Amino acid sequence: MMKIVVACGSGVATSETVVASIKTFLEQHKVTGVEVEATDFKQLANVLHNYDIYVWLAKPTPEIQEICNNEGIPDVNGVDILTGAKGDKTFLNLVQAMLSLKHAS
Amino acid sequence: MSEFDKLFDENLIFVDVEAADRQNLFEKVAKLLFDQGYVKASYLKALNKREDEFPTGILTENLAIALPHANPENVNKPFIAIVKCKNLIHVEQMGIGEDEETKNFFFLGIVKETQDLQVKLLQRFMQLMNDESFVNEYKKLNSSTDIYEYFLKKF
Repeated sequence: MMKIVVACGSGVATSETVVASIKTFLEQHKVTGVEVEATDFKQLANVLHNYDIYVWLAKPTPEIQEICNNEGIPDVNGVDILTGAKGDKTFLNLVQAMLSLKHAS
Repeated sequence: MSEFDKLFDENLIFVDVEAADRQNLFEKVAKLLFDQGYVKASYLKALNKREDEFPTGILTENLAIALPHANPENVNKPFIAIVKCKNLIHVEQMGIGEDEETKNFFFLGIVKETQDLQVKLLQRFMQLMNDESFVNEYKKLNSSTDIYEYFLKKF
């Protein structure tokens, strides 16, 4: 099971929207075995180590960046996913992050 | 009728709003929302804090926008307040924190009970923002009634 976490300031608006978009994208492409969850920034440092990929809507702080580096958690810019403005390339970075993990394991 | 209709309110659409800067704009909008019972007294402070820590400006394909919002505990009932400013207001972009100038604000009032519907609304909203014809038409609209009817039609 691959686990993705999306974090924004409050964990209720933009991050939930990005979670919904990622879930829709995965369903459309018949990808299973991926859990996608939203959290707020306050809790992130405590829970990040439980996840495989971190999708951010606010720049990772040094503390968060360090956890990502130590745990080998790739981070993906979630603003592109929120806006969907990049069309077909919207999910490219996320897919690349997922593939990098698949190859590592 | 779409499921989103009840989230829009003509009384929460403001055009030609004059504000000196972001703080001034937030103050004005917070007062309007408070007077109509949508938010608690704590809202303005929470809104500013949230925007300082996690800016909500977004340069969509066709329009620079901002989606200011505060945590649910500061909100009484769900809303989306649409604000078109007279002048450009400086904000920062979500995620990267870079500068942005915009006239188009969409204040989101989110509460737990209607969160799922509001998330769907936000998804639909971002979709429409990528639609050039939607945005071009929106830019031309200059009254609360016109914007209200346009949104009901498009959402």
